[in-house]
Amino acid sequence: MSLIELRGIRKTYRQGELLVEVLKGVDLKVEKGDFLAIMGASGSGKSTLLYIIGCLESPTDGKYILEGSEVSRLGDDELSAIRNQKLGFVFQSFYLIPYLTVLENVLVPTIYSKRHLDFKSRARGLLRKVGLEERLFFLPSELSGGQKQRTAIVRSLINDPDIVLADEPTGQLDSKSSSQVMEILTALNKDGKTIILVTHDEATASYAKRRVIMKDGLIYPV
Amino acid sequence: MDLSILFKGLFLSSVFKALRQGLLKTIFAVCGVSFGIASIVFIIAAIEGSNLQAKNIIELLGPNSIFVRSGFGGKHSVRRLTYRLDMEDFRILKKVMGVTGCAYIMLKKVDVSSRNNSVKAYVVGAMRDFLEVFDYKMAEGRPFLPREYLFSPKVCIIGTELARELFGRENPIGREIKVSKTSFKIIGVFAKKGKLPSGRSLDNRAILPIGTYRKFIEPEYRRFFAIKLKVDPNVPYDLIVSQVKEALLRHHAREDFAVITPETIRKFLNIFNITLSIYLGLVSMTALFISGFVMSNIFSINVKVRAWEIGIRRALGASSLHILLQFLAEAVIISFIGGVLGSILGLLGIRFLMPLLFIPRVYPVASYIAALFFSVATGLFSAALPARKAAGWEPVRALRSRL
Repeated sequence: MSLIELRGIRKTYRQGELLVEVLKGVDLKVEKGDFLAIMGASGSGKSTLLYIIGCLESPTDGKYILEGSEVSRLGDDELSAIRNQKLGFVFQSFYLIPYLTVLENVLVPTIYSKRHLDFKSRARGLLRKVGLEERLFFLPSELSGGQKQRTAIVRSLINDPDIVLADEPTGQLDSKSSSQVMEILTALNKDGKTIILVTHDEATASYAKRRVIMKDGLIYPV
Repeated sequence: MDLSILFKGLFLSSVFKALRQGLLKTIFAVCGVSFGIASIVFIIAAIEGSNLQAKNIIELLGPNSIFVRSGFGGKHSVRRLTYRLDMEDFRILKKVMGVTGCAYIMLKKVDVSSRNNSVKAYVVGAMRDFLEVFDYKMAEGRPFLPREYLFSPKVCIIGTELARELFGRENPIGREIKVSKTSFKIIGVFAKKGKLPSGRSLDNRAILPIGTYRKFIEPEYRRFFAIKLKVDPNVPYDLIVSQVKEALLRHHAREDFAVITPETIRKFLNIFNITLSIYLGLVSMTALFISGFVMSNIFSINVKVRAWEIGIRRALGASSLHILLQFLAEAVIISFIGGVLGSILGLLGIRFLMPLLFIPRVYPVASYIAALFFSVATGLFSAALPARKAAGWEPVRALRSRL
């Protein structure tokens, strides 16, 4: 059984009078421990695919099976719990909450978690690992791009998910910060996390174990 | 429904930080609520105050009493004393069945002075039953002796306020006051009577026996301002009142007098009360409606501006209930602060505006409870729609709104 299995996933958007089919029947399997890069030009539908995998939107048609259970049948509460417990997100523009400190931002997912652990010391430990132990009480506006993205990565890990989804994680970073971020993701993969990455950048994709290309709403192996 | 999130420290602190982030919006919303609440606090105090006033006036009238005053004819007659009752009225009323005591009140505003001080005050001429019928109790000294009503000794009883004005903290008993060059010896001080509804005090008066009054203050009087009756509690009150009215009408060409009973006081103040309630009720409802409207608008803007934050929280595992609770919590906090501020504002209103309306100041507990209830309800009600809208968004739609 695969960790993630997509069968014939379609997604259609309505733009005024027009129906735009972004995904035209995508089949994809991701095994546990995989490090997959989904590549493609902008508008190819790769972000939409990642959001569907991330339970942030639902497919118009098709089956999405996560750890053997069909996600498309679940309600909002269950989907939220899956996002909270099983998935971690890293976005191109970081999406840190501007009025919360680094530490608080990292702890946001634990607000919605039903588990009661010492999240604070876990957060400090993780932040130390990525070299942010001196920035705990900084606001996002006081951080560099690389520091912001490292904060976002720690946030994605705070509930110890199996899968980390990264949407152009290096899109707004210089090459030095980019390689730092990718090395962190690679290390996570070595620790057993499954990582799915969306990017159009060759260098970023080169860290992945496996690559696929999206073109006109369909997926092709490289 | 799992509401445990409300008790998480991080949830609450992030709610407070969000409010601080949008400080201007927060202040605006708080002001909106607090004005609405202030008016509610004020209206409740006004209603309770005028009820208290009714009670006070009825107490002032005393038990088993009827007050007959001349007036309510011509301009300004409510405030100004008119003298339309005469000795014949007094004799008629005395004979009405059920009347056990009867006294008229003669009074005149004069300059009263002690060695230290001089003030304007009313001097009252007291006939034999006066002190009893008008429920005067002695605080110090003694009342008039029977023979003092017959002759014209230069003695007087004064009120506590007049005593303080003329003698400060010194004991006034045995001292003298001067009215138009004549000195009167103070033999007693009567217990505090309080204020008339007009705000005029009853405690800055000097009472002289009727003979003394006639001799030194006003030799030629035939008419007076008011007559007070004490009635037998075993005779039906309404029956006595209607007989009093009939008797007076037989002697007066038109109804240029008023028979004041606890019921007429209640009736008069009820009309006042209802008018006040309707007027202030409308004002406060409008204020609350406007504050709700303002809040609702601020919250829809708030939700729109923070759509991407909603998106990221959703991505991190917040359910739509969590988002709903977050925005409702913000609303409750805003409206709670607004409620507290509004209560304070209302209290200031009571403190400084009530005296202008001649309403005694009361600070009713009910108004605080009502204020908090209404403010939180307004907050919840006005935030519910925008918050529900935000909670209902598909996570990705909220996320993309920033781009």
